[in-house]
Amino acid sequence: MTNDPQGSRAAAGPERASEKKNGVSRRVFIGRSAGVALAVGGLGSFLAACGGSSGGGKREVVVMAWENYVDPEIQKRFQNATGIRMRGIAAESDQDMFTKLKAGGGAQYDVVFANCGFSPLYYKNGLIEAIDLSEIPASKNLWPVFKENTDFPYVVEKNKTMLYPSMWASFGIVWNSEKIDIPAPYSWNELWNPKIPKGKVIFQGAGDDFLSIAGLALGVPRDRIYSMTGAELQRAADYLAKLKPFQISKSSDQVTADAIRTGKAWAGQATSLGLAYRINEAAGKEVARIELPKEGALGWVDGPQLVKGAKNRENALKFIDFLCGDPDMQDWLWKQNRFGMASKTTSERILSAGDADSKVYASLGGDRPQIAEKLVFQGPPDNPKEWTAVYDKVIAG
Amino acid sequence: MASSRDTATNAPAVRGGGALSAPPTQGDRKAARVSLPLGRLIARLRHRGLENPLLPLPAVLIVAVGFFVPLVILAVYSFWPTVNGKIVHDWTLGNYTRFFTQETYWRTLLRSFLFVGIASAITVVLTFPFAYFVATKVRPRRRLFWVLVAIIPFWTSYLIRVFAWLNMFGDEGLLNKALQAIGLTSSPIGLFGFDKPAIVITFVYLLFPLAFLTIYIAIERMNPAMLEASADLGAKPWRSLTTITLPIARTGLVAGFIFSFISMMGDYATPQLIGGTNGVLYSNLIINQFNNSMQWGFGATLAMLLLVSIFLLLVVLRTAAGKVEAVGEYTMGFTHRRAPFLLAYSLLYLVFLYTPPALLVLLAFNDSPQSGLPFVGFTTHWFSDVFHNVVLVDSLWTSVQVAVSAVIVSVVLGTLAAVQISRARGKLRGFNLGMIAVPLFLPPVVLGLAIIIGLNALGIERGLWTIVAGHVIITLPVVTLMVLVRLEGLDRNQELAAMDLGARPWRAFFSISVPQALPGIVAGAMIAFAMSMDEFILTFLVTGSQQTLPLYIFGSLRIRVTPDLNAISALMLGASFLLLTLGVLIAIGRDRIRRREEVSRLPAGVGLPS
Repeated sequence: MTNDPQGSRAAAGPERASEKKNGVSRRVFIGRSAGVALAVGGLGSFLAACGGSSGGGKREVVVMAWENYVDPEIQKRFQNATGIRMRGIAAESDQDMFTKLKAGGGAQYDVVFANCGFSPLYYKNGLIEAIDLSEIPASKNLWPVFKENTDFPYVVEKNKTMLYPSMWASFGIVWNSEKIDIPAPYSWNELWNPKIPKGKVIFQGAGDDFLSIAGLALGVPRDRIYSMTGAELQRAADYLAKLKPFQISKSSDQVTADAIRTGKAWAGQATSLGLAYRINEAAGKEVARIELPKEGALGWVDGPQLVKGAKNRENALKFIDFLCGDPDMQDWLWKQNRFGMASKTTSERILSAGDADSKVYASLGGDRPQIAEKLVFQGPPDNPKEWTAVYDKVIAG
Repeated sequence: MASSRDTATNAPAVRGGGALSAPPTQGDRKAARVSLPLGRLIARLRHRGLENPLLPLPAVLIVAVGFFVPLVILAVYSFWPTVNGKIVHDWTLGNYTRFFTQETYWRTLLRSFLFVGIASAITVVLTFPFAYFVATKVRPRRRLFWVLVAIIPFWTSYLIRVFAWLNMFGDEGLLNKALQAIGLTSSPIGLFGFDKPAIVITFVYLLFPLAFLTIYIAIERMNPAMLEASADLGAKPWRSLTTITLPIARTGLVAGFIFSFISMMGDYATPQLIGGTNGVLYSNLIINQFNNSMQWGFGATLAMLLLVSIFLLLVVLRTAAGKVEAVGEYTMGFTHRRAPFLLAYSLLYLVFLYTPPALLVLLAFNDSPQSGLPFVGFTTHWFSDVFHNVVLVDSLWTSVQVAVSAVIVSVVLGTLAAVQISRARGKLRGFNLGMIAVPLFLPPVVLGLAIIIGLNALGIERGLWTIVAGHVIITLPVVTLMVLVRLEGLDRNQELAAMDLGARPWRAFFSISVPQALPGIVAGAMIAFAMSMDEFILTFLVTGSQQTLPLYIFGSLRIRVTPDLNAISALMLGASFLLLTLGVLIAIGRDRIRRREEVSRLPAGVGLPS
């Protein structure tokens, strides 16, 4: 302590000056450097947070689906109707969506689409919650079979489902009739027809789907196609390898349709019998034919699933209700996809129009939803590790 | 009056320590009296100013936490089995046994190494004549133009460049159509089909600018007078090439090979998009384990084995390349002798570089609902579609947010690190530099997988921040190295002079060092921004539900190619071209102003050398 602050200041002058010049300023420098580093970290986090609502916004719903369900048109219509922003993430396949959700992305999404054969896998892994259909007003429009038949893998109990049924169809073999003639009885083996040049066969989906088609072609019964293992699975893999190189359309019926229409592919597996109609409609003439092979085909019922613990659960339910209940939206979906509709009301509206579309819809069995009860649904194999290993061998061999 | 430079030059000798260290102050002395080792350490650190070893710490920590921790977790996972899609914490060598006993995997690794090795060698061999031409035959003042022309494609989206080649290959692709049109072939040829040769061509195209830069820089250091001397002494051109040029360019050639190799080995998108089912490489098998079957343990094993293999390759190449002795001075010289074949080759190479993007631009104006040839009419409506596509605009906005965040973090932390590293010597410098730079030598696919496994193991939710973090790990080394290169070329006496005149270190840093390092900082920031905006391989793996522009483009390429993708491509090409042109014009303008100022300072009648 000093009674002479002035003098003290004077005495400390050179030292203080030196400190100001060197010591203190260094401390300030280091302090500021650390401050800048922290501020930068904070700024980075802030900027990141600006767009990182991760589905937590009140007026948003985050949907992961095949591209046809996250079309910008759907996003626009949903936002106009409800004021809720739909953020759509396009995915390639059921396997792709399941992996993304399973690998820690659950909290990022509100709705994830699936083919119904995959729903039990999601459900067993605790990734989705069962939907009480009474929460979705549009469900009163469904064909009863889709919400009551507990033989369907996604129906937990009457009016309680793992996914909300949206559309359904059966696989078929599709070909460009200007390039090749495939006679009856139609078989999956026609994809291995030597008249089809190498590289002109197209598949849609993921490796499991291609292996299952190869298995069907070799005569493995439909009902145990996903149980293939050991030598039987290896035979299917070898058979598939003979077809290499083949084209793959990941999740887009449009890619398959374009390939067949333009002759980029001569034949392939279609995920719906309505595909030929789409192709011919675009071509303005008949260039494509599609048939159900004699070995039988796999089929699917698809739809939205409610992610467990979804941040925007209410918005998710509104989205499902809008997509599967709004008449204009339903008509748009039918025109875009040419699949069977799970909504009885929509089906009856299409059929009652009495136009060309009605005939197509009837030809697809849209008025007979009980056909869906006979389908073996596309789904995950019993032993995914083994299936992946053999598919790795197919593509890397 | 002694000039500040004189004072500054003497300063280090007086201080006997670091360049900016100073006599201890009272506070420092107090701290120094503290008997605890920690107190002594703190006191010592306070003395170090811009040499303070804590400066690189944030950057080193980011790499350590974001890179090494996930890598350790990846290594641990490789010893755990996956049962029903879940990792079981039972130690086992089963994954490694599976790799070595199932020939699909080890053969694919060997085959991919061979394939990628050949593709990298082709890239380097084809690039060498062009780089040699630019470095030795082009007048120094025109070289910037040639370099820019060569690297502009590198500034455009990687996926867009792949997309450009999708239009070139296939039975209906431009190459086969052109061959048939000029009567060279009557039907499509396999070389230009969607197969392995097409992958090689695309890889060469994608990596040419990177290889060019490394080789060009190495050759440009060579004094062309040595070639003239060897010719005067009777050496034939090939002998000059093998005994002078190639040995001098060796490090550049090896670096070009290494960067090409690592990029190709980690790329699972190009083989998939271009080669289809015939284009599967090792990285595709790794991704399969994470995508379809949830075999994370086995996938981690495949990734670790890739890492070890690349490390071994680097060691071999490092040993083989050896150290290049300094040969002659850097003269900015060039050979006056004409080289018509080299010129023709270089022009052909530019045609090779620019044909695919030119085709994309052409297709962007094609009034066809299909993306591709034939050209049916002129339209601009695909461009307006781009701006009305909400998904695309959202993706672009997400990309900008990520890039800006990554650039800010990288520039600040990278500059702080570079400031200290440029002043440091010894093992700590080597350690810091090595730590920060190591992500450059790892395929992004392995880094991405390590991050998602790390996040999963730690139960951390993915989101936009994980993309930012991943991008920072990639951009931070680039910014640090670019700023470091600039700082190491600076005259540090100016900083010392400023300090002697009373400026605090902080002020000297911002008033002297930062303006001088600014070109390096700006260049680093620009490259970091471009890298982040374009990053796909890593982003695809670490994203939550966010979609960046490259993810949108990849989705479009994988799922459905629409004509508006051509329009996006044309816009991105245009934006890259404009930005680079602007940068060059600014650089030229600054150079002219500087020269004008220098001329104005000279006595009348004295001119600057050109």
